[in-house]
Amino acid sequence: MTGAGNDLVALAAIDVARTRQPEFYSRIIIPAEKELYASCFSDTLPFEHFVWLAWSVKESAYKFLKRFDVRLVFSPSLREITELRLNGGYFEGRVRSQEHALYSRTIINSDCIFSMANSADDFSAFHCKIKQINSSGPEDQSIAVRELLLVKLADIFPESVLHIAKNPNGWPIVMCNDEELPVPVSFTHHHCFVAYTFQLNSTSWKAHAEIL
Amino acid sequence: MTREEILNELKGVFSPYTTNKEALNKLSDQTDLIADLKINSANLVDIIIDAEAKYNIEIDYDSADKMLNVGSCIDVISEKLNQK
Repeated sequence: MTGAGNDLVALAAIDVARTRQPEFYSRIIIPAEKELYASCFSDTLPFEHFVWLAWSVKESAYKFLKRFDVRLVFSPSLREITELRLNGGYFEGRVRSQEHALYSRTIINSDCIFSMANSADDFSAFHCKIKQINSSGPEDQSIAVRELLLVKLADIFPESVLHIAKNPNGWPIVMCNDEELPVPVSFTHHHCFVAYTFQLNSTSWKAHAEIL
Repeated sequence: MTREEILNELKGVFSPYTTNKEALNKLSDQTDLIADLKINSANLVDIIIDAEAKYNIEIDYDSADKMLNVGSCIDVISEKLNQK
């Protein structure tokens, strides 16, 4: 499966006290994940960060899979992070969602938690960028993340006039000369942060060449 | 409680999590929490917890998964209130 799914959580916008309440976090993480936290990450990661990391991984996986099953419902308690390890500056994860197993990469800094998901444990074709903006309004977020992506795509496809549209199911698509490029894109925003993720592979390049 | 009463009360539940006050004032069964009210998905759990507290009900995970538009929120709350 070729796709893209991402999610971002702005740490300034989370309610730490509420996140630590069992009635709240139990809707995001399952007991096995709480045990994973206790055994591997309790010394290095605040619990509330782990909960929102789990949320962002599961939301990324949901967004990835939703492209292949539009009826899919986001239900974090039905998805399980089965593996999670810190590798240098990011977390590598594996998440199970019904019959699917996806892989994740998560970055946590002082401002936000950002995750993306893929069907293979290989993110070499993925591009992503996070940006802080001066507004948390939905329209400003939408404009900012599209501009951010188009700047990057203009570097990659300098000879093309590209724009971002939405397909009938509501996810973003990259258009070139009124034809959709096979470049799966995912947008995410929370509070004053926006981010994109897209996957660019040989199929993308070939399709672009044919359109031109 | 009638559906209309719950709908009016839900405006107060959603209010902290939306900046789209125009859509909030025009709530209908079809209003989508994310697409129309622009509520961030990260706040969906907050809404479930707030609804549980407001109505003194327990919303199970399966029911919570359905609470994506106003009509389904009212359906779940009505069902849980009737079970009390």
